[in-house]
Amino acid sequence: MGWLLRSKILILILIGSIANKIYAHPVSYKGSVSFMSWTQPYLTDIWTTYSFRPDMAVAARYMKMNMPEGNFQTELAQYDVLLKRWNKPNYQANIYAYGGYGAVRFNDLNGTTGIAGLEADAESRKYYISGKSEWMRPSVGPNFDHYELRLGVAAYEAEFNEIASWLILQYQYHPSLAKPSVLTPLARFFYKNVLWETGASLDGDIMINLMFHF
Amino acid sequence: MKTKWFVIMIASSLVSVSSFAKDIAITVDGMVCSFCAQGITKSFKKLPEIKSVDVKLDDHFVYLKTQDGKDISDESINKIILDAGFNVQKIERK
Repeated sequence: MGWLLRSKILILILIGSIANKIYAHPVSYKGSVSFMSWTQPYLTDIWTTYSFRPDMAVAARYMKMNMPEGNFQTELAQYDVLLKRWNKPNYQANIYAYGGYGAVRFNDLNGTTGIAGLEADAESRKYYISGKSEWMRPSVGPNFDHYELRLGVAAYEAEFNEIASWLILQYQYHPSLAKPSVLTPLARFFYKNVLWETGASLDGDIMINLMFHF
Repeated sequence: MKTKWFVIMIASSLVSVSSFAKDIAITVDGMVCSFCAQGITKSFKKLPEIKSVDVKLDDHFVYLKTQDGKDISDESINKIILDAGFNVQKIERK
């Protein structure tokens, strides 16, 4: 491995380590506050959630998107629900739904929007899969649809007090954004209540995600 | 007289047994990720009757050690695990 490639990997890991971003499920354990963020050059998505029940949460969300027609920003109030959970000895699987409403700015126009989404995931200590569909219908600017599929494999089966390391392959399809179709390999690490991911798409766009709950 | 001594000895032995710390092993379903299981340790550590919490993902176990003379009910354990997003399969006390 060349020093340039090693330097790039090291820089990505360092960026991920210091990034001010956090991630978790739409609903976490009862009483928890979670902060999650996903950042790409054309899409920023930041959530803060409070899980007041093990199956329900309220969230404040900010999104910024670069579309061919212009810049799109929104602030949303959101309600997240865990529809179904399967707890088995060697895996957990979940289905979530959420809906929200908020303000939109598209170039110089102001408006409102509704949002709805569905998420599903399943993970063992070795494998991970998740899917997400999301639809936004603003009063100004283009509609926003977002579809995402993630597959992951753990580098090793980490114990509770060890750093966990995963390789994730993420595919996103959002036809209204500047880059409609994006494939991104990511390295995911988590330790205690902090999770961070860093990667770069096949076009070289860096993605940094950070999540924590307390 | 013998009966009185017998009752006193039994009672005192029960008192001394109940004053020991208890080790509790909880088998938990769905606990595959340390990031997602943080709520378990956080919730148990809040309780004054709990001395230590140890999670073993390999064995699907949560180990609790209570303070001397203290205990925690199965109902409380079940509620904490459920609120953390998991299911209790079995509770064993030692």
